[in-house]
Amino acid sequence: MGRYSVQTDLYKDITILKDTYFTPPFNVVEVRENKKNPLLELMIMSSSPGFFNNDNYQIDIKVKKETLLNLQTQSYQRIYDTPDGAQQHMRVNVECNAYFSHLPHPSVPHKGAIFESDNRIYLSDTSVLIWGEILACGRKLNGESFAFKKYRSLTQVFRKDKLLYKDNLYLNPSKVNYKTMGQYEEFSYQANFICVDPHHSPKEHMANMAEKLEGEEDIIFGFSQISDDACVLRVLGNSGEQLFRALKKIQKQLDKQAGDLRQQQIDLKI
Amino acid sequence: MSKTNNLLLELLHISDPTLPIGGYSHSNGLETYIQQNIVKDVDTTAEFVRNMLNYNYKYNDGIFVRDAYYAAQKNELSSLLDLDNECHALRAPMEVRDGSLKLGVRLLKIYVRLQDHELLHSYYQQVKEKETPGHFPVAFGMITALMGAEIVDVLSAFYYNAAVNMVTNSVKMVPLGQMDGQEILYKLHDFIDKVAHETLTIDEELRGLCNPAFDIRCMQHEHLYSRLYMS
Repeated sequence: MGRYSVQTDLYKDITILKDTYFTPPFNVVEVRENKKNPLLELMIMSSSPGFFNNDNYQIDIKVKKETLLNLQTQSYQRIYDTPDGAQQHMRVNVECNAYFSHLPHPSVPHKGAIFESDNRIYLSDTSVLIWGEILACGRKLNGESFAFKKYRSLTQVFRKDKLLYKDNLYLNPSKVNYKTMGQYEEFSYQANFICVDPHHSPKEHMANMAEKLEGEEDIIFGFSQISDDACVLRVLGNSGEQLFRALKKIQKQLDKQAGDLRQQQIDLKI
Repeated sequence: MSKTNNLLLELLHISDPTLPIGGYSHSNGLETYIQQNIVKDVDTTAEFVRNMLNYNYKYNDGIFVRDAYYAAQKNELSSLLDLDNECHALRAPMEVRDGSLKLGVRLLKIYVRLQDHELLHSYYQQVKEKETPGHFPVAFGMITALMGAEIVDVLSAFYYNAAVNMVTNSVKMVPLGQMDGQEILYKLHDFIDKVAHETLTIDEELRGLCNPAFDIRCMQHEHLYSRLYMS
């Protein structure tokens, strides 16, 4: 079982990595270039090329109050032929006025892959969550489109313990015809992106999404408000790289915005 | 108010597409599909309706009708409230979420005048106090359980109502001939029966299945240049 945990804290108004614990294959590395940036940027490095049979990863992230964290992955998440399955459980706790941003590289389930991921994110009234995920149909160029057995990613966002958003990304080619109308249609990659942000209106976020995706070709997308302070974006496309790059642009702007806002607050205090 | 002993009449009433709850004013993404010329004839309309029933309604509506029905049979108000909240959290496209709420609340308003079950009134009170949203499948499952209807009949009535609305909207928008619409609907009877039975034993993993392209077309509907429908 692979495991990593991360806990942030504040040191002189800058977010620091207070505590971390990891077991092979993981390593947690700070990748923040500007050490004065209030936003902490961490990368999860892995010595494993992906998930193997019976792998079970446990992830625990605690974003303490007033801290800002961007958690990055190193590369595409490959899921190999896993006859007995592989799993990942991620628990995220984002405290008051804290910011958590996470857009992992696309998941690529290979032929025969069986994978389940369970993400539970707990927010307070003032937490900000920027969360994305991208699923590839498999190794398309190797002729392995939708050749996996099962891929399930269940994401639940709770605010003050009440379920705010639930997304059940489930693909099982033997149960659901993914090429049919309403599913993937002529596309082979799916991306979902959610912003929960009590400090900016969903309209601002959706305008940003529209602007960043406007020029992209060979995709379809839609975004919608899910509450007074949250919105969701869904995209279908034919290139994982394209979807990752496009969502990264949205995320980067939001990360910068959060860092700048915190810097202004720090400057005002001084 | 007195209750008829004829459950068929009760089910026909609640699933009647002319019940004034506004079902006819929601297309749930169909209008986008038609404007994008993806749904354009009898075959593509039939595909839309079947896929909506099989992949969307079954896992995002029917399952809540079923669970609300069982919760009502056990008189479990708290379970109904949990289901209602889950139903809300799963509906990402705003117009679909609002549509389900409008239908649910109007259905409740009708039935609190017609039935005096304590559970129904307690649930409606929670909706009025904004303690719970009041989604259509939850209200439908609860009310039909309180009528004493059989679960397969309830699910068949629910899916039939959804199918009639989709077909009626298609006839108007695609457009199709009235006979084409009736033929699509008639040929769906066995399919609806199959979906209703499958709903009884849905694998929990599929609960709230994400339908990416349906969701996207529903979200895009918010920004269509001209719109006849509310979703």
